[in-house]
Order: sequence, then C-alpha cells, then structure tokens
Amino acid sequence: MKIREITVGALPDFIQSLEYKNLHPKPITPARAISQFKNPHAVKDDVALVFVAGNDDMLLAFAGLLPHKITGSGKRIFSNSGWWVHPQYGRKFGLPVFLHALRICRQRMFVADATAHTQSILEKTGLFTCCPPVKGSRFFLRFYSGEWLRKNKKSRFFSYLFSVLDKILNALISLRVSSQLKKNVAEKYSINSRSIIDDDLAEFIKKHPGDSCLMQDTAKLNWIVQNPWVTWTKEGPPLSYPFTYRVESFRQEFLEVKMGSETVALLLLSIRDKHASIPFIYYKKGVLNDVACILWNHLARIKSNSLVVFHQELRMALEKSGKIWLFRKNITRFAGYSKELNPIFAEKKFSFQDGEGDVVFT
Amino acid sequence: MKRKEITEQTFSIFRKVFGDVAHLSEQTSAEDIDNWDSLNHVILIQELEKAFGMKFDLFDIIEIRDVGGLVNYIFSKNSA
Repeated sequence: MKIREITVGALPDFIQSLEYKNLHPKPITPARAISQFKNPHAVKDDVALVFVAGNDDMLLAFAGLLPHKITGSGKRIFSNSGWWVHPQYGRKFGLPVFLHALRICRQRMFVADATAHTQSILEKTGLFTCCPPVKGSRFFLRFYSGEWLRKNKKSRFFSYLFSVLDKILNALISLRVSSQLKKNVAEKYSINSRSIIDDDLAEFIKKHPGDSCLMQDTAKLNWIVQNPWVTWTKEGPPLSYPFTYRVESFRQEFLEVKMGSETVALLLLSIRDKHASIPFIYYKKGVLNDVACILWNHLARIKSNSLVVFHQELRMALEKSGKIWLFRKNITRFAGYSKELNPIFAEKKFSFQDGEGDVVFT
Repeated sequence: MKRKEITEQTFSIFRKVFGDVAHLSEQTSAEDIDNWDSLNHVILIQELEKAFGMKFDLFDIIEIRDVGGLVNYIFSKNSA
C-alpha cells in the first residue's frame, strides 16, 4: 500500500496530470483543487489530499485536509474535507488513509459535519474528542414534491402531476405568506445583499465572532464565496467523483442587516437547488429574533423551498418567530476534534458555525 | 508472556471481532478478511489493548501488514 500525498501547491498540476486522468473515481474535482489552491489560510506545502489507488488506477480511499486559522493566535488547524473508501475494494484502506492524514497535520484536525458512523470510528480510535450531537432543523417553506420526483428520476408523469399540485398548494400558502410579509415586525431594519465583504464588515465579525474559534477574515470569506466546490453548468462530460459536485443551481450572498446606518447582523446565505442554509452568522446581542424574521421574509420573497439551521440561537429564534413553516424536521449532525486540539476547543465554550470546515463550499 | 500465547490470544480476538476467519494464520492480512473495515479495525485494536493490558500507538499499527506483524508488535511491547 503506497499512500500518495498531494500538497496545496501541487493541486493545479495534479489535476492536469496523467495520474489524475487515469484515476477512477477521482479523489478531488478540478473546482475543489483550484479553490483549495487559492485558500488564503493555507501554505503551499500543506498536504490537501491523501489517497491510495490500486495498480489498475482504481481509487481505493482518500482523505482531504483543509487548513484554517484559529482566532487570536492565528495558528493553523485542519478540517477533514472528505473521507471516502471504495465500498467494495477499499475498506481495509479507510483507517490507514485517515490516520495518515491525521499524522500529516500533526493531529490538529477537526470534523465539523460527520455522520454517526464516522463519529463512532473517531471516538473508538481514542484520538478524538467527540462533541455532543448537534440538533438542527429543516424548515420547509414550500411544496416541491414534483421537483423531488424529477430529481430522483421517478416517473415523468407523476413528477409533472405533483408539480401541478405543488403550484396550486404554493399559490394557496402564498396568500398567508404575503399577509405575514406585510406585518413585517422588522420595519426598522434594512437589508443589503453583497457579493463580497469589505474590511468594515470583517471588523464587525471580529467584534461579534460568536462562539466560533476559527478565524473568518475578509480574505477567507471572499475566497469562500468566489470559489465554491459545486458547479451548475451542464458543460463537460460527467466526472466520476464520490460526492456531489454538480447541482442545478448554487449561489451565495452576504446579507447585511442594518438599523439606520449601523450594521447589526451579517449572514452568509447559501441557496443550493432552492434549499437555503446559513453557513455563517454574526450579530449584535438582542437582534436575533428580528434577524430571524428578516431572514424568513427574504426566503419567502426568493421562494426558497427549505432552510436548514444548526446554529442553536438562530434555530430557537426561527421557531418562536411565529412565521409559517409547512413543517419542521429534526436533523442531527456530529462533530469532533483531535485531542491535540483540546486546549483550543475543550477548555472554552465553543460551537461550530453551520458552514464550518468545508460545509460552506457545497 | 510467551510469543505462542500471544499468538493464540490474538487469533481468538480476531475470531471475536471478525467472526470465523477461514485459515487464520500469522500470514493472514486485511486482504483476507471480508468484514475488515475502518470500524472493525479500531474495534480490533481496542480488544487487543484490553486483552493485553497495553496501549497501542495507532500510527505504528497501521504500518503492520499481517497478523504475524501484530503478534511481533505485541510481543516486543510486552517484553519491553
């Protein structure tokens, strides 16, 4: 078993190489590779990818590493950006590849969005501190069963039929939604959409970092929104890659909430295939309930199908906002960090933001 | 503890974790065991640590290629 390591600086050449061309499936997409190459918190010698392939160029397992900086000291830590094992031939290589990645980053690794299975493996290694499960909610705003059937390649007839039904039901609920839009409790606020942030907003984040330990500066946040890991163009042949990389639509915008001329909140809003999430949110104390209403108004206006939230305070604020949700589904995700990072994470109150690690990119 | 005892105990733990492994020998490697995945890998290590009352370095363990290598590792730690 020979484990290959690809550094951040070598990623652009790697995706052009014959080795990459022959690998199946691919351990990284070109969009991810170029994005990681531009990471302002990485240095070129950081290892971004660790993988094992068989003699026939079949990819057996890989683990990704994404460098971050922590607030205060600016020391670098790494999130695990993907751990994949070939379901048939790669099972023996899963743990060695992951441990290799862990060793490379000097055991300074965190996992912000893991499955219960992954968390149980990490816990059993004895090398990780596992966080309590993070409860989240998916708030459904509109009916989209027709779309769901189409995407899951069910019968075209039923997909069409349900789309019509969705339209009727959405028209009915839009009456109630518009009445709620009129009773806007947050009239004293204005909302600005921005494609990138400037140093003033970065200063606002610095003042209101919340419980996150990870540094989010202008360079990093703008790099994130300018370099997503999914593509929505239909050009080019499909790529053999184990995770989702092609979607129908994906966009991100910063929403700056102002009271008069003062910024009181900043949200990064991601919309993927009409489903919204808030990877990052920063706010002044006391405004979150109003921000939740403003967010709901915005999502209703842009006709978002659903919103996923793990941020505990925002979730609570949305739940008690009195706004209309078709229904709400409880969801759970898991997180953890290597024990080397105990001094950073375990000794103070912290929580990962929803988009922490590599979640924000997809 | 003698090497032979360590080998027998290691075999018994392999059977406990992976079920009936056909032709279990010192040459048996991960390739020969169907349900050797990441989770069973760490469970195996935990069981070995419990049985031999020692803490393994996971990073050393991943370099080991077969059961014999594992027995040698435990034997060397045991005699140290």
